[in-house]
Amino acid sequence: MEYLLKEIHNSISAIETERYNENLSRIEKTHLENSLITLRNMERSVINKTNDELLLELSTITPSLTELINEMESSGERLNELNVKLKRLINIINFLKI
Amino acid sequence: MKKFITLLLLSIIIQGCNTLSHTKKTYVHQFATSSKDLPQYALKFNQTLSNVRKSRGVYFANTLSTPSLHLTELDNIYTQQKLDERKTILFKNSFEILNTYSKILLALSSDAYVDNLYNNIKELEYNLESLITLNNKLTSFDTPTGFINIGAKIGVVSGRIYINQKQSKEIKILLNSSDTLITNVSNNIISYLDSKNLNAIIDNEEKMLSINYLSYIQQSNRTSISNDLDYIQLKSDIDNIKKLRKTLIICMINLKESHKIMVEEINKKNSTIDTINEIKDLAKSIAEINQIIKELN
Repeated sequence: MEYLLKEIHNSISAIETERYNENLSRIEKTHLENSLITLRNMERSVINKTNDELLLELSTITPSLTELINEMESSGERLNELNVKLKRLINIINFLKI
Repeated sequence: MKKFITLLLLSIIIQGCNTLSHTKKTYVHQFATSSKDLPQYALKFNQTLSNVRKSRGVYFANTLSTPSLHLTELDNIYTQQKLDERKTILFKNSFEILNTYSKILLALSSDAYVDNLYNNIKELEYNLESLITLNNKLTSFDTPTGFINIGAKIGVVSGRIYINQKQSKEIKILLNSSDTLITNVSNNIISYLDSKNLNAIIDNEEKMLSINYLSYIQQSNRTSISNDLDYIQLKSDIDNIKKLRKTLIICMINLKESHKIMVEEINKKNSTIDTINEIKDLAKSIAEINQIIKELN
């Protein structure tokens, strides 16, 4: 739990740093806001659920984050560095599910 | 007249044999007085943590440029608040068990003659049984029920001396039969408060508060003095939650140990000690908790 919260915190922090970049398009900013909302939901799940329930809950949230990453990738290269960080979080969750 | 004097002498002898010494009754009374406000501490602990979570969530919601996302986040904050309230009830219930137990001990160890002692204890006994049953339903940890049945015995007695004897006897029975309960409930609270998960949650609130507030300042370009003061208050609340957590753990350890020692001393025919240091430590930790609670207010 401690590790997951730390990873979510790092991802939120990275997006927060990026989203005040004035060069971002309106669509890119919306993608980032949607990602933040998804990460906030993940954070709440980690806080609220026991370990067994948590993985099940996170499994239902990760597809929407993956979808957002794909959309951000297709919108240009500006958010690539951020996408790597978000993919890392998804990989950790997938690893924990095994 | 002779018959009356004989009865009076007999009463005095019986009283001397069966009632607890003043010192022993004082232990019990001090223990019960110290632990009677515990539920409000649990309430304050969870409410403060929940308030920090809600406030930083509102900062975050205000950074969202899309109104529908803003509203979604506010709805999520509200759902979380309801969930936190339910968790608080669960956490508070463990403290309510200790609190109700203390009330029974307070009634039994009181020097003052209580007219409706039977009714009071009967009601408290019922409350305690209900709380334990609820606790067993809500948690995997199991506390025995049906261990206590004082009211029925006290109800049939009359007269002050006889009641004193009965009270003393029932204090002994109650203390001996409840030590496992007190240990289990205290251990349950300690394991929750001392868990790595709770530590991670508090640390997360602290870090996320800074991130969410920074984001809020960046989004709004400038902030008000009132917002900044609120932020400082929330930081102070997190510090006090950390202090409260540590002191509550110490308090629970003291409560558990002082109860064990009190039971040992009560069972001794001739107890040689005047005071139980662990009860003093318990009172000291309660005083520290009260100080932290004042700062939280």
